[in-house]
Amino acid sequence: MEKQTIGLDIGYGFTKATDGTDTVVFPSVGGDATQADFDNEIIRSGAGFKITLRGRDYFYGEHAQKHSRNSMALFARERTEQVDLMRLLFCGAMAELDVEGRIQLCTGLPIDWFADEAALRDLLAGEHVFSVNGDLRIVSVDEVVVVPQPFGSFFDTILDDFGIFTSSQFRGKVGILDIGTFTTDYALSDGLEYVAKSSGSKTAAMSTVWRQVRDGIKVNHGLDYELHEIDAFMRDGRKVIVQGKSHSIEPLIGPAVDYLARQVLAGAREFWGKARDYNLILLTGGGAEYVKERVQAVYPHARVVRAPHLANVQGFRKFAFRKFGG
Amino acid sequence: MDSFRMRLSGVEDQDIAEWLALQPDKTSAIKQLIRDAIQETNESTLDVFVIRQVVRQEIDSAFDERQFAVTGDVTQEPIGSAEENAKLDNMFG
Repeated sequence: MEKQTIGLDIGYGFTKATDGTDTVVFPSVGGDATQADFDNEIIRSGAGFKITLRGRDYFYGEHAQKHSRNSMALFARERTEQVDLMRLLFCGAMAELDVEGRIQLCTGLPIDWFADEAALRDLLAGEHVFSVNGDLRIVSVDEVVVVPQPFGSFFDTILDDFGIFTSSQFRGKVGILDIGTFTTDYALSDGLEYVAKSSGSKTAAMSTVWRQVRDGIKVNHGLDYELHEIDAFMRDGRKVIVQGKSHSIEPLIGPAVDYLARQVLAGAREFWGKARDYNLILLTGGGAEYVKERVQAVYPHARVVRAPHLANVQGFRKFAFRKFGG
Repeated sequence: MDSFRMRLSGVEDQDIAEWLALQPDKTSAIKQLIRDAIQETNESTLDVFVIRQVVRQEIDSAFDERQFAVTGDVTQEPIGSAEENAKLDNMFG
């Protein structure tokens, strides 16, 4: 069977994976699934699969958020220590993409945790045996490369689907600013060399905005939401319903985004200064569109990459294809 | 790529594969398709991703897997020097 090339991005907020044709995204959450839960027609009719891994049944993603009694999320400092959850999210991504057999993949780590690269590679490499809704599945990871997370967007920008240069924008200094869920990463490529001293992570990210908006909703309307629900509100209508009446949360979002933008720019100044000698700054991640104008006011050579929330995972797949061949 | 897709007169990816399968000389047919696209768009560089996907499957040996820098007659000028390609290959182990 032909070896498939996979891009995998197990982020603190969301897990994303692509085989180059299909792309899947689900919350990086897992939890136990009881047979009773799975037998319940209402629960089973929702999105997602039951994964059986090393004798235990799990839900993952939105299914776990809704139905698992002890759901677990990834925590920043413990990613490679949460081995079982990482394996579950990997298996969930393979199930969603309907992948089995031999694969090669590229994945990423936030800059500040890049020292865990070998541990992550070891965790993912080799044979994964699991069941999807009771059907046995074996995925064998033959090759793994781990890159600093923002480089996925860099590769997505400069490479085509076969990992071949399609743009000369890799030349000179290119800053990559990745505003994710719980971390904002800053990376510098200088002539295709990763410059670690001008790269790093900060904790101000989209969750900073969500928390402020959530707190504002609680104060103004007495409603207590999970962070992922705030994310959904911000992407869909920017309002909450209170006792049948619609209330805009726009007045809460503006100041929260302003605060994030200031934090993001403070980080950029710390790592890159004025970046006047940079050819380009790539803005990526789920927060890119929110802070774009504020960042461009300081760095006019910044631009948002195509599909910023998916650019890392798309670039991971392209780089894996280049590195390991088709 | 979008402009190139448009110049294919609405031909979808799968139709290109069908069309190509019917051509007795696939290499010449693809080159002619690119020439026509250049004439119509007056672009010096085209991303021929759609074509390359087909080429890869059908006549892999006819083209290098690089972006074509197309100038009048069909030529291939890959972006990136050998040194730059080697640097990218060696990034991250």
